[in-house]
Amino acid sequence: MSEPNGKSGLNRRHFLASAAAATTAVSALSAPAVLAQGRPRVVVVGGGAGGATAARYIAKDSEGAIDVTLVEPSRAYYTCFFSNLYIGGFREYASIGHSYGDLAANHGVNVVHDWAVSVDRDARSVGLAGGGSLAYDRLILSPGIDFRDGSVPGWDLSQQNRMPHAYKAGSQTQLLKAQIEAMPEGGTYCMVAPSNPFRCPPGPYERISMVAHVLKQSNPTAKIIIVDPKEKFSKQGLFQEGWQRHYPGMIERIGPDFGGDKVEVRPDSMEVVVDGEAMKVDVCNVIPGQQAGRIAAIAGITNEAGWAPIVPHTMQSRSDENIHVLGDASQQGDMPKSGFSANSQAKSCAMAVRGALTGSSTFPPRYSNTCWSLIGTDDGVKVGASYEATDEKIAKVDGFISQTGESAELRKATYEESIGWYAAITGDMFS
Amino acid sequence: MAEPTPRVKLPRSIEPGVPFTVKTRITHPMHTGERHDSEGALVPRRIINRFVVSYGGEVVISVNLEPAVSADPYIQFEMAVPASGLLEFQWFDDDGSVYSLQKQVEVG
Repeated sequence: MSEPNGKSGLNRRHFLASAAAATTAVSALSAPAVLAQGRPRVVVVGGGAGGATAARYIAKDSEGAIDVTLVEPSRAYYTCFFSNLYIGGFREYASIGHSYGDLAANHGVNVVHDWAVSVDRDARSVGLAGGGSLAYDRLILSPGIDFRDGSVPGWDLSQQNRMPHAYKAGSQTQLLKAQIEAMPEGGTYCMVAPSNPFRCPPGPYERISMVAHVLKQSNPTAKIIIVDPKEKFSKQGLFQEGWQRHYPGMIERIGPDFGGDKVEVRPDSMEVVVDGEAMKVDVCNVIPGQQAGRIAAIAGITNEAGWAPIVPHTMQSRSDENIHVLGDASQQGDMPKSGFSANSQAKSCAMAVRGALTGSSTFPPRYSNTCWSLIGTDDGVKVGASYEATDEKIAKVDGFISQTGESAELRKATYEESIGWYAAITGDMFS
Repeated sequence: MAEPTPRVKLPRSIEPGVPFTVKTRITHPMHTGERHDSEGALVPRRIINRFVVSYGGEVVISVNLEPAVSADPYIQFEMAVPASGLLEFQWFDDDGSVYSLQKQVEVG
C-alpha cells in the first residue's frame, strides 16, 4: 500500500486534492492547445475488454466533459473469453455476443463501426478505412492481437477456413466447433499451440479440455494431439491431472522433447509435420505466434518483438505520451494477456486520461488479474495475481493458483465464480 | 478409449560406436486396478506391462512396468550402434495388444 506519510500532516484526501490542483495548474500552462479547444477529445481504437471499458469509464466519469469516440469494426462483439465454453457446449453462441448500443445510449460514447487504418501522431488524428479521420487529444489503442507471418510454416490467414485459429472469437469459433463435431469416428484433432507470449496463456489448454469433453461423449475413440513449442504451459499440473481424470488416454502433447518446436502444416493434404514426420489429421487448429494488433505497428509504437511498450502508471506508450495502449497489444511487464488484465488496465488508463484532460484526481494504480479455466463439467480452476506500477514495469505483488487434488465442491465453486465474473466484466464493458 | 500412440525421438545425427539418447513415450492411461470411476465402480487394471527395444533382432533393452508407473510412460535410455540398421520398439498391453514402431538408424 502507498499511504501518505503521516508525519507530513497530510491525509489521503488532502494529498489528492492538492495533487489534482497542481496537475490542473501545470496543464493550463504547458498544454494550452488542449484545454483551449474546449471539450477534449479521446479516440479509442478497439472495442474489447480494454477499449470498451476505457471508453465507458472515461465517458461515464467525465460526465460529458470529454468527447469519447470508440472505433470498432464489429457491430456484434464475441468475447474470446468463454468462447472455449461455447466449443465445449457449456454456453450458447449468443451468450458470448455483445453490442455497443448501451455505450452510446447510457454514456454518450460515439461508436464508429469502421477500421482505423492510420495514425498521424503530429496532427493527432486517426484515419478510417471508410474515409475521413478523427482528431484526438488522447488516443487509446486496444487492438488486441494479430498473427505473426511465418510463425507456423505452411499456414497463413488464407488457410484459416481449412485450419482455423479460432483465437479471435466469432465465426472462426463456430467453424472450429462444426469441424470437431463433423470428425470421423476415431479421428484426430490436432492443435498447433503458440510460442510465448500470446493471448490468454491457459486458453489453448482449456480449449483442449473442452474439445475432449465434446469428443468423449460423441466420439470416444477420437484422439487429441497438441503440438507445442513450449517446455511448460500455464496451470500445467492442474490440466494434466484433470485430463487424466476426465479423458484418460485421449490427449497427447508433443512438446519440444519430441519435436513440437519443429512443426509445419500442409493444409491441402490436412497433414501436420512434426520434426520431419507427417501425420494425417482430421481437424487442425493452428494458433499462430502473435504480436500487437496491426494499428499499433502502423502508429509506430511497437518494439522489435511486435508489442507496444507502455509506462506502467498510466498505460501511455513509451514513444508517444498522447497514445495509451491497453491489453494484449501492450508490453507492460508481469500481467498475462487476458480480458481481465485489459479491463483492469483500462480503468487505470481512464483515470490517467481524465486527470490529464480535465484535472480530475489520480492515484497510484493497482492492477489485478484472474484467469479461470474449465477442465470438465463443474471442474473449474483459476490462477491470478495483483500488480503494482513500478518505473520499469507492471510488477506482480502476490498471486494465487488452484491446487491439484481439490474437492469437487471447491472446483464447482470456482467454476461458478467464473460465471459471475463473466457477467460482471461484460457489464463493465458494455452496459 | 483412443488407441495408444507410441512415439520415439532419436538424435539427428548418430556416429558409429558413440552413445546417443533414445526418448520414447506411449499414450496410455495405465489404470492401476485400484482406482474408482465417477460412479464408484473399480476401473480394471490395464497397463503397459513390458517394453522391448531390439536392434537388428538383438534385444537392446527390456523393461517390466508395474502399476505404479504413471500414465503415458516415458522411457529414455542410451545406446550405441556399430553400423546402420533397424531399431524396433514394442509396448505390450495387459489386454494382449502390442504396439510397435520402427526407426531406421543411419550412422555416419
